[in-house]
Amino acid sequence: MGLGRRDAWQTLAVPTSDHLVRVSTLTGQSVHLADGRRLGTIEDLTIQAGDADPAVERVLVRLDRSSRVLIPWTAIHRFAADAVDLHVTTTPVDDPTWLRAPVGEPLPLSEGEVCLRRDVLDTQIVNVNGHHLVRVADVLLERLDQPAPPAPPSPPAPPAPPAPPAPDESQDPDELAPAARLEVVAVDVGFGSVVRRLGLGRLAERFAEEAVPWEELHLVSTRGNRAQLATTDALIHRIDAASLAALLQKLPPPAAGDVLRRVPIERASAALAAAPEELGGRLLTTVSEERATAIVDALPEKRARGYRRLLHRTPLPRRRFHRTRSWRRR
Amino acid sequence: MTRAPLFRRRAGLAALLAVVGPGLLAGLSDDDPAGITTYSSLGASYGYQLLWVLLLSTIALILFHDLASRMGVVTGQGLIGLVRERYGVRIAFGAAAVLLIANLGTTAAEFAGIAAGFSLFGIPSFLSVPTAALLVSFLVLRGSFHRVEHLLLLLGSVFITYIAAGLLAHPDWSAVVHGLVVPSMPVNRTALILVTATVGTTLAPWGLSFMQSYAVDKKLTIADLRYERIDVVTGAVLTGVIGLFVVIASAATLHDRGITVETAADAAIALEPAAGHLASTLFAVGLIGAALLAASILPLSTSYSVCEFVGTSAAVDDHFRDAKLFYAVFAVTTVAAVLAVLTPGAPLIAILVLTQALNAILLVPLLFLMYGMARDPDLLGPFRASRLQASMYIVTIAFISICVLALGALSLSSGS
Repeated sequence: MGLGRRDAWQTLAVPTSDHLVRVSTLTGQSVHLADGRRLGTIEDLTIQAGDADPAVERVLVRLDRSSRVLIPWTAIHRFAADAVDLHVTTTPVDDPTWLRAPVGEPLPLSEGEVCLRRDVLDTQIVNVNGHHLVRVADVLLERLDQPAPPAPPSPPAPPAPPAPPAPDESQDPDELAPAARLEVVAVDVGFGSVVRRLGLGRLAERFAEEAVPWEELHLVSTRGNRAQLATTDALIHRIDAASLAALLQKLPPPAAGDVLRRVPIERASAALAAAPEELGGRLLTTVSEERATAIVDALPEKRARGYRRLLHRTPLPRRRFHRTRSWRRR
Repeated sequence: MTRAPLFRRRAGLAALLAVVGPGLLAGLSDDDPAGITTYSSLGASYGYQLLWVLLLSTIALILFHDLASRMGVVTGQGLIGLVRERYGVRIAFGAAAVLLIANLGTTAAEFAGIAAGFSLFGIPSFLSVPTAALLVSFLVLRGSFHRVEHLLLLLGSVFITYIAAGLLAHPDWSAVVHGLVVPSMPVNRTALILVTATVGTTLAPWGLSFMQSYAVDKKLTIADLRYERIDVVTGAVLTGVIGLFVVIASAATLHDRGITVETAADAAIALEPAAGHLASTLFAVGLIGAALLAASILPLSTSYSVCEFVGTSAAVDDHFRDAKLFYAVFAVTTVAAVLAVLTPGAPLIAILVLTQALNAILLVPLLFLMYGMARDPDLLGPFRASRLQASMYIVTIAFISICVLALGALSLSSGS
């Protein structure tokens, strides 16, 4: 992998490699069938967000104005800078592993599967250790021609079509090996990538490039956040209470609410004990009353009293009480 | 242990007070000097006849401020950030760039309003403008979120002066009601300019952007949405009512005597012979307060938008070292606006006209972008706009588009 794991979070320079590709340059590329017919253009790429080394699983291809199809990564035969070729001549109608996804309807994704363009590119992320909220300017993928390392079990992917023939000496360098993977290694959060995507390549060079390794970030987009939370070995489940409290302060309330709903009660309580009371009170309103009560009950008694007082406060009952009392006096 | 349900008693006034802010501030700051000038001109030139435009503008304000706050609360993102996520960097860049330029011009207009307001009390602009800039900068940069919000809301209370000024003008209330509910309009360029300007100044792009970003900065949650709606409607209705009283004050005093006004300060001066010194003074105090409030909100709105586009931290409570860009944009916007106002011979009128044009140009595409996001189930889930809401958005956008296009066509034809 292009970037190694580090103990403390910081942004790195974007690694340079012939095998490194950017999601922003992949989307819009033409996709051709093996017989040369043009199928459509790449609209998105999907991965399993909770994987430690997530690789592209499926490619969303836009066929025309109203139809799209999700095809498995293994259907790709040649992967070049300007076009992607499939090793099949079938159409979406013929192949049951190609899932149709009409425009305007939800994509048929498996649990934990996220789209790199829709759910990651240009969305916010938070670094789990440093608690910085930043926006993704690009997603960096590395082409790896060796087999994938052993990985924890993940949700079943659609059945793959027959593997392509083994490569020989005279093989096209863009042709993929049978076990080739396109692995997400990092996201680029530098402003240079934004400038580059605006078509100002020369100006982009003036800005420092900054990359955040994939394993050190937490996605904030609705689907990305939930997909990572659903994975028990995601980094967010392993950070301490103080870090979780700092993270809750940085996350927008919808994402913070998702975190409070998914982490164990004890961890949620410990995080709220370390968070400012006003914020904690607001976040408690994003979870069910039963869960909020359980979280507050698990707090140290002094903090629990503070939260109960905060959530109970309203002058209305007291005002009614005063009115009743004065009425009785008369 | 038996205990009352945790949330039952949170509902009520305390919950509402905890939420109030974004809608009131975004609404009231729309009654800035440019707005007061437009409303004064509307009343001075056409009396009560075009009051219905103000009513429609207020409805449009409620619709789109409600949408902005809902998008902010549900997605946790400001408007420009959400545009970048949904439509990509190119469209977001276009929106942020035009917003930045337009906001710079509008901030200059606010400081020009401060200068004009204080000049009515004999205080020169080289004293009033830098002092006001320092005051708003200190307020926003040094205060905590809640302190800033409370002080800004206190500043907003100065708008009561316009209501007093309108009442002192002894208006013809039957004509007011007729003008509000019976739409009629002279077919000429001046009337069209005033109608478009009234819509444009009430529903400003920077107000929409501020509304959404501020709701995010305040960390409002979905549980707060119903209270936030009250905040939005209250803010928009107050904005409309204040605008109404400014039109009434001008219509009752200036229109009857055939006086037209170029600026809000002209209106304050012209009020004196007809409505008395107190009405004139109240109008001037209102102008200063309105300008101070908008001069605080505009750089804040600009900072939010730029940071959301770039992708860096943007919150009033952030420390300088964590949000350098946020504070830098605030400072640059304020300083540039102050310099534009204080530079002798600066083409201030040209800047203001260009700003109004940019705001009008930006408003329609921005509303279309908001409409697209409002209907996106991936973004808003169960909070996406219903068919009824969507059709109301479309009607509003169509009305504003027709105004802007008609004005553009008239301008081109008169220019050729």
